[in-house]
Amino acid sequence: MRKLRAISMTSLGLLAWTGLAAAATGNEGQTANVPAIAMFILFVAITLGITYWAAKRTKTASDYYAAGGGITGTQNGFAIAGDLLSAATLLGISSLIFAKGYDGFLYCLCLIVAFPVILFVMAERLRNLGRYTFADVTSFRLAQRPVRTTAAICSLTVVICYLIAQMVGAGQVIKLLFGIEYWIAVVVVGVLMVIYVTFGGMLATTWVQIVKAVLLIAGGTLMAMLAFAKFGFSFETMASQAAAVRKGVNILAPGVMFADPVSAVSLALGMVFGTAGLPHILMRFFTVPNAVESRKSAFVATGLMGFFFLMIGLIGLSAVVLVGTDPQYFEGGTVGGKLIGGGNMPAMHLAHAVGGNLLLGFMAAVAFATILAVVAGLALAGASAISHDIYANAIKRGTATEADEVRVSKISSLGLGVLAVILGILFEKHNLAFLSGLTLGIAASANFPVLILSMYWKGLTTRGAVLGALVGLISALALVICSKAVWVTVLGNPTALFPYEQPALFSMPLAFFVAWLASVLDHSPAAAAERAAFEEQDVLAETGFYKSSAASA
Amino acid sequence: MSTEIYQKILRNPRYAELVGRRRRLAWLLAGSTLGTFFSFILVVAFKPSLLATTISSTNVTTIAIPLSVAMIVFFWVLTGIYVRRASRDFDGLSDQIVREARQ
Repeated sequence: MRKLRAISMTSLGLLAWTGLAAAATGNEGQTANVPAIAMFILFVAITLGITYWAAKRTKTASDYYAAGGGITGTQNGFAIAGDLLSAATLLGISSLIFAKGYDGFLYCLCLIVAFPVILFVMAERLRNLGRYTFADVTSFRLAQRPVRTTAAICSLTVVICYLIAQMVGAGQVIKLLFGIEYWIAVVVVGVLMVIYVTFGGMLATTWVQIVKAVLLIAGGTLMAMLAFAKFGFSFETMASQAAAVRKGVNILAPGVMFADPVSAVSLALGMVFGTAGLPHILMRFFTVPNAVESRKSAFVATGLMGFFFLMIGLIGLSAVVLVGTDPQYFEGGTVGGKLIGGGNMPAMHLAHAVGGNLLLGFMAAVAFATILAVVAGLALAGASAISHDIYANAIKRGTATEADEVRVSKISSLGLGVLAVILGILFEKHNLAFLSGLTLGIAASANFPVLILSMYWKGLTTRGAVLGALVGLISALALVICSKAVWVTVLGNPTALFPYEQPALFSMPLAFFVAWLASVLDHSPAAAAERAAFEEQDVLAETGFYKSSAASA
Repeated sequence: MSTEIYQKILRNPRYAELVGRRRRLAWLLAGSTLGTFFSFILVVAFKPSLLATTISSTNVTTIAIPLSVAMIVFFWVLTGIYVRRASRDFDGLSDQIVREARQ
């Protein structure tokens, strides 16, 4: 017992202990998957090793927030792809394709379109104008306090919504795959997330993400190819068999899933521009040394995601045949009934169908690893918003020492970890389908318009930036609350006040309009100075001359 | 010091050339990406039956599938074009402009 306690002092031991203890008792009739647990513990050991290595190299604020700007473009490309390829992508999109066919694949298209746009109009400018958070860019020539505070509020809202969705998903997936209790799974994710972020900062968070991205892409490709081989690598054979399984709906064509055209367009807008406004993605462009590497990271990320999404398409469609006709994957053996483990499980069942328990174990461990890596990135983005934007620049007005700033960031990441665990446990039984739309809707409406205007429009003033972001945030929030997913499903009202499912089509143009209107109506001397300062900002954005002068000086 | 550098850069005629060429390329590529994608989304939203056409009378595969794959490849190729053009045409010019301004 003493020995056991000594082992459990380290988080790895603690994790192994809780995992195995829960597995041994086999709670709630779930069976533990031994290869999954072994591979997961191996992953955790590697990532803790990375964190230890990174902690020794993380000394300054720049190390902590941006890995000292020492990540290469290729590495950053993997990390960005890793951030977007969450467990929701692997499990959620493949299950959408399994259930609805082609429409599920549209999500992949929406996610990938964001990256060329980020590359062409944002990546180099972000790198040249910002240091740690995207608010560095929006507040570059505007009043620091109001603009940073607003940006931090919007970032934190996005981060917390995203974290809740990840935590609840994590708890449910881990409970199923590993046979450990929901709350233990959520606590384990929270503890590891805080360890990575607090001790290893951006360097550890980036490398955890890279390791996971490699594992996820390799595992996904292996699974897709094993499944595709069952159809002799013929898409037509697979498609015709899948179509035969799903009689009545054409799963190979769009139009099954979207209730109305407006919601479809709104969803696409929100996903594309929301992705381009996600604080943890934008933050990655500060971890590379210069604009050249920043471009390369967007190129690599686009290629990796495009490739992985094709694999997801194969996984989803082949699962229709390989999982959807096999009674062992359905409750009570009724083909076409409820899938064992729920609607998100087709990819996991497919892993079992094509690679047995070993591949299932591997993919389960990868899914867990994915959740860990994504929540760590989110926590770091949230903690940076608190420490860099609110504490160091809004409260201390730039007079805080680096050590204090990093300390506040570490405390914030601990706070976010505790909050995420509590909210994750509170929301276990809730229907959180609205969260993904809300998160991307807010990012598209509150972050993206102000960011793009601050980089390209001379006329943007502090008043415009603050009001535009706040109106974007509030309108996206209000529209989601009034939509069916919250007003009817969560709050139990008979009919929705807002007839569409996604807010972005309305809230994003509104945010642009308000930012424009408030700016042009602002005749204060401060606003005039802000407009005059655009020219210098623009030259810096185009050439990065501060940084190139620092490099050669 | 930095104000002086930026004004020198701004006065350099090659700066206007750099910015003009890079912006034209960036907006052209961004426009192609978003234009292609949102045209496709509008068809999905308003006339999905158009995409339900099969690639030939003997196949079940619809044109939506090769079109989607082609779009993914197209977007990636566009990012490749931008990265290539930027390092070939713009980086040298940009470095030169900054160097001249610092003299």
